[in-house]
Order: sequence, then structure tokens, then C-alpha cells
Amino acid sequence: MARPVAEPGASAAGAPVAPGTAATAEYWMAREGRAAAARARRERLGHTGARLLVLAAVLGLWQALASRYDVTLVPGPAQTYAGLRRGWPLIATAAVDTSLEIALGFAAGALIGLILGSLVGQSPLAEGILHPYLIAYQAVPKVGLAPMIVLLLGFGLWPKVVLAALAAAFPVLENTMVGVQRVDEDSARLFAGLGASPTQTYVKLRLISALPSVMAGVRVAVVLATVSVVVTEFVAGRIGLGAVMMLGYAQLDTPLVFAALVVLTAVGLAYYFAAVGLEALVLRWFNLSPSTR
Amino acid sequence: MDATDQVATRPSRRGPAAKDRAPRVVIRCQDVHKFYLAGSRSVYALKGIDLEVREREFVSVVGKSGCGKSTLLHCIAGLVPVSHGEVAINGERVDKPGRRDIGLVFQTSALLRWRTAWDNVLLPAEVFGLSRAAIEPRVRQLFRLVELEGFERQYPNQLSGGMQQRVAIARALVHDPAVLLMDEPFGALDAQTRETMTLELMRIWEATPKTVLFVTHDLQEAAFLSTRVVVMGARPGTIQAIVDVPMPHPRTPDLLARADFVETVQRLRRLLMAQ
Amino acid sequence: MPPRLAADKTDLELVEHFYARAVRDETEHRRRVRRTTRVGQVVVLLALLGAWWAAAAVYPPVLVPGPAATVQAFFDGRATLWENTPITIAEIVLGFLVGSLLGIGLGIAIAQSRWAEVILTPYLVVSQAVPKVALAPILIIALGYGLASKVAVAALIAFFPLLENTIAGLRQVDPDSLRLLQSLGATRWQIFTKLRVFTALPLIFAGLRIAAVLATVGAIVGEFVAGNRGLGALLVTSMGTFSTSLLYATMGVLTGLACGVYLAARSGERRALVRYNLATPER
Repeated sequence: MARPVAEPGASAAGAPVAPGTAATAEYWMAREGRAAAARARRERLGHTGARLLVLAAVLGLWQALASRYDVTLVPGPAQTYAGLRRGWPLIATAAVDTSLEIALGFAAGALIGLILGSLVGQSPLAEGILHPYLIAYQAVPKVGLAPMIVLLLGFGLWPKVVLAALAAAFPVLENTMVGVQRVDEDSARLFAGLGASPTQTYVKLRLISALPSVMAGVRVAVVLATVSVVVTEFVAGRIGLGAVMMLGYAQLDTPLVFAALVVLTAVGLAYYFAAVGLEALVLRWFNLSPSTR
Repeated sequence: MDATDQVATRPSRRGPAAKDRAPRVVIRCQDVHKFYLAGSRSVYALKGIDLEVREREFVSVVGKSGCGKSTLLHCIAGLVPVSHGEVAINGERVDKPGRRDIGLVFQTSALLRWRTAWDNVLLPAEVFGLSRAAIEPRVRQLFRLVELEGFERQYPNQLSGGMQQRVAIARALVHDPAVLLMDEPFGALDAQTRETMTLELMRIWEATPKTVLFVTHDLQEAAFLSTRVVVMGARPGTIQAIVDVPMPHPRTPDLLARADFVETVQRLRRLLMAQ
Repeated sequence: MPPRLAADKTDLELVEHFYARAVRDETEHRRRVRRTTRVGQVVVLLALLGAWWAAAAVYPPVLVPGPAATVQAFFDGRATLWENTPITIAEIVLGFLVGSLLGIGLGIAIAQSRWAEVILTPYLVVSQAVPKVALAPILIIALGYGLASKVAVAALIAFFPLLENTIAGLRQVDPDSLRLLQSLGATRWQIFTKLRVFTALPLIFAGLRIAAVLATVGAIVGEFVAGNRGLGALLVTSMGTFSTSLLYATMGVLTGLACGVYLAARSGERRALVRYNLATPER
């Protein structure tokens, strides 16, 4: 009577199975699956480790560069942290201001983009009429409008919000337009066959069907809103992290500039991941799959 | 009998459940032509279609790809306007979509993936503005009819192809239309599921008194389900012949092996080959 | 109901009958759409100009100069504009070239190593969210007020989308084509030049188009911060001195320049894709 081959470490998997039983095959498959899973885990760990290594290397390089060159040009991580602590009250208020501007601007722009995109997407005529204007709107960098808008609206909150809205509106508009048009053919026929009104078809079919595309546009819009806010703060320079950076820039207080930059990066990332999270939430709620774009 | 003669106004023979008074005509197509431009091509999809479908008939439309059978269905549903001629359902002319006396089933189940099966079946009632409370018992009944009890809360992507089509059929029946228009509903399913669904559809049809127009490319399926089979030819799309399938309902799978049935399917095949 | 179409008509006659009608309806429809579209476009343009003119009438010229004042400032300031425009153009072009070469080059390098790609992907994703324009002040401190810093800003912003698109494009090779070449014993270099390069081209050209627009943004932002030369600097200085009509005139030139860059990039993309018979990618 053949005995099952004892593997080293068989005790970890349990008692050896009696020969000829059906469980044997499953037993080996489970072991193989476990080994494969363990291998995948090790690989993932290796990747994370390598990524952290890259991060550490970059930080180390930064520190090395800083110590070699004049610190007023390139402050290292240590000086940046010092600058952060020194300028904290200023930076903290500025962070709040910038965050508010991004949020307001993005919300306004996304809403406008959604509404306009829905309207234009359902009317081929409107799309044809607006086509050259949309191209021009896309081609012209909205940041170039900053001085003009600052002149009109002053140095406070509103020019940043307006410019952010202008920048955020376009990706949402375009993606909504496309999403509302690209509806499954048979579903469109179904609604037509039921005699659904355009509003019913829009609310029950097109809008929800467009959500993956819209959310992809939202993701882009958040980033564009952030960029617009920063640039407007450069130009207007009284409130916000961009203004703090300009302050440091003017005084050659580079640690302050770097500190504000780090905080700005954190704000930008926070908003981006919030957008990604929102996208995941919306898609899960409606049981949709993400856009391929 | 295999002549590909043009059908003029041949009176359709009744099925075996004949009464002295002929059942009324539910779908009538008179001299229907459909011509359209697709880019630079011109398509003469339907030419001189005359068709009468009576109450409680199950009529299949078969033909090679591109012969216009789907176009015929779309014209009858009002989804596309005809170039000439008239389509009438229950005596009323069809010139735009949105008739409440028809139910549509497509090849792709066209279920909305963000709605549960239950909510998908409710969709026509929502669009028509019917009261939810009034419809819900009927929806429950339909789920029982299509044998999907317990799956009401599943999303379409959690259901198999056959189950999705059953939900689509339930949805087409929710507003109790007199007519069911089905465009190759089993075309996207694998052969096994298709056989199962054919029997399912047979059972459902026998339980509910609907008039069905069924487009398919599967001759055996067409003959098994129908009282009559319309054979269409392509370019331009015309009715080549209408073949009676006089075997009595209810039909069981052992019909498939019977000599007279096999002969009917062969006849259909010969008609198609002769094109 | 209209009479039956005669059964004695041949198929050809029937087709001609319907065809003539269909073509007539179609051309009629198209003409009507074209006309309405043109009219609509003109209406929108007039509405925009009208709004501008109305705003200029309501607000003081120091806030909103009208079309007339702007055109006047364009002539009065043409020397300044003529002086500053080439600088901005140079920054855009150089920034675009540097950013593109680096982006594509690094993209190719990273795509070759699966390992490098996996490690670096999260950083690339994260870098999407970081506003790279924020590095402008630092780059100007480091590289001075001259051309170099603005080119650096432009290149930095243009670099990332190209890098991403290059990597994505090289990765998206059709597995069956790959297997075919492998079965023929092609070397890695051959697979690269005969297959990967071409499947990547649509995305790379899309990336180049995006890079061109971003290089413009980078140049302008760099000039905002440095504020000495170039159209962006001119915008900021005229804002500061409330020379609003000059500001508007400069905006006009900048808009024209940006549109020119965009259209050049788009037509370049289209021509290249047509040449190699590749599909235009979705944006």
C-alpha cells in the first residue's frame, strides 16, 4: 500500500491524507494555492519595500544636494521642516484658504459642466454650434486669464474660485457630453419603444449611464482646479498657499517656499484621492464599472 | 410548394384551435417598404411586405443575416418610420414609438445594470406612470412565471445570460401588452441555454394569451415555437413564403424528433437555400 | 392610404424612386442643419461681443476696456507686444522639446523593465495630483530670471503626461501580434521597432498634443512668477499698473498664440496618425 509522500512541513498542513481518497487532489491543490498566495504576498511586499527605498533614496539625495549647495537655493528636508514650524500660523491659514477656494471652484465648475454637458450632449445641433467655441475654450490655457480676473474681482477669494470653476468645468462638460451620448443602443431602443419622454430617458438612462465618464472627468477637474487656484494665488498673492510661496520667493526665504509647497502637495493629493474615493463610491452605489478612458 | 412566390394577399390559415369565427388581426402590415441611406450605401430593407398576425398567434420570422427581419420588427414597433405603406396594431396605425400594447425583447437583454432585476422589471410601469403598489403584485407573479423567484434583488451582471433574458421577458410583460415583439432574444446565448430558454418561452406563452412576433435565425427554434413561420429573402427584403406549422399546442420536446416536424424544418431550410 | 407601389415596377425602378427621395430629404436636412449651425455660431459670437461691449459701457474703462479700446491698445503697444511674443514662443517650443524628449525617452526606458514600471507607477499616479506649476518659484530661484527657468517649468509640466502615455502606449500591445513576432524569433529590439512603437504612437501623439498645451501653460506661469519678460510677464505688469486695455490686447495675442499651438499640435497628430494608418485615440 503506497503512502503519500511526506513533504517537509507537512505537519503545518495537517496530517497526511490516506492514499486513494478524493481529498488528496484537493489537498495538493490547496497547498499549491497557498504557496502561490504566499509567493504573491512576498512579491507585493518586495514592491512596497522597493518603493519605500526609492522614496528614501530621493529624500537622501535631496538632503545631500542641500548640504552641498547654498542652503538659500536648495533647502533640505531638515530646513524645510524648520521653515514649516516657523511659518506654521501663516501656512495653516493659507492652507485653509486654498482648500476652500479649490472646493468652491471645483464644485461650481463641475456643476456647470454637468448641466451644460447634459444639455449639449442631447442636442446635436447645440454641439455643432458650440464646437469651435469648445475647442477654443480647451486650447486657451485658463491660467492666462488670471491677471484679467484678478483685476476684475480683486485679491480675495473670488478670483480664485471663478478661475478654478472655469478650469474645472471643461473636463466635466466634455465627459458628460460624451457619456450622455454613448448609451447602449438596445437600451435606447427600449426607452423609445416605451415612449419615454426625453426627460425620463435622460434621468433614468443617460445620466446614470454617463456616470463613469463623468466621474473620470471629475478626477481631472479636481487637479485642474488645484492648479488654477495656485496660479491665481501667484498672481493675486494675498491669501492662500501660493501667496505664501510668493512671499517666501520675494524674500528669498526658500525654506518657507518649500514648506508651503509640501503643504500644497498634501492638499492637492488629499483632493485627488477624495475625488478617486468619490468615484469609487458612486460606481459602487450604481453598480457600474469604471470608464476605460 | 417550395416555389419562392411573392406573397400577395394569401389568407393565412388558422392554427389548430380554430373557431368558426376567425380571430381578429392584431398586427397588420400593408405594402410596407423601408429604404434608407447608410453613409454612402443605400439599403432597401423591406419591399412590399404584407403580413397579418392574428390574436394568440406565435409567428416567427426567419431569414439570412441582413434580410431585414430586425428592420421589420423595428417598423412594427414604431422605432423607425416606413418609407411606404402602413403598419397597424390592434387597428391603430403605428407611426411613432411608445405604444403601450407592445412589449419588446432584444438580443442583448438591455437590462439597466444599476437596477436590480426587480427594478428592471418595474421600469415600463415607471415610465408609464403606473402606481407602484398596483404593479408590484404583478411583478412578483411574473418572477414566479419566469421561474426566477428569489433572484429579485440580483443585479444583471450577477445573472447568467439565460436569466437576464428571462428578466427581460418579465419586463416586456409587466404592463400586460397584447403583443410581444422579440428580436433574436436567444441569439447571444450558448446552445444549451438556448434550448432551455426555447422551452421556457413556450411555457410562458402558453400561460399568457399574447400575440408574439419572433425574429430568429434558428429554423428549428422557429418551427418549434410557432404556428406560422415567415421566410424572408434579402436585398431587397421580401416575404418569400409563409409556412404553416400545424402541430397542436402545447408542444413538447419529443416533437423535435417527429417526422412531420423534421420535414417542416427541412422545408424551411430548402426555402432559405434556394435564395 | 397611398396606393400600392405597382407590382410591375422592377426592383431597379423602385430603388430609384426611393433613392431619389431619400437623397433629397438627406441633402435638405443637411443643408438646414448647416445653416442653423452657422447662424447659431454667429449668434453666439455676437452675444459674446455684445456682452463685452455692454460690460465696457457699464464698468469704468480701467476695469473693462471695450473692444475699441483694446484694438487701440494693440496698435499703441505693438512694439512691446512684438518684443515679448518671441520670448514666450521660444519658451514654449524649448519647453515642449525638452519635456517631450525626456518624457518619451524615460517612458521607453521604464517600459522596458516591468520591475521599474511596477515600482514607479504609484509615484506617477501621485504626481498626477501634485500641481507642478507650484514648482515655478523654486525653479526660478534656482535657475534665475532668464529663459532657462521658464523652459524648465514648461518642460516639467509637459513631461509627465507624455511619460504616462508613452508607458501606457508601449504596454498596450496586442498579445496576439506579440506572440506572432515571438514565434518568429524576433529580438526584443525588433519587437520594439516593428510592433510596440506603432501601437504606442496614437497615445504618444495624444501625449504630445497635451504636452504642447501644457508647455504653454508652464511658460505663462513661469512668466507670471518671474515677471520680467514675455507675454505672461506683460500681463502681470499691466495688471499691476492698471493698464487694462494693454492687458486685454496682450490676452488677445496670447489667445491667438495658444490656439495656434493647439491647432498645430492637433494637425501634427492627425497627419502622423493618417500617415501610419492608425486610429485616432480618444482624448
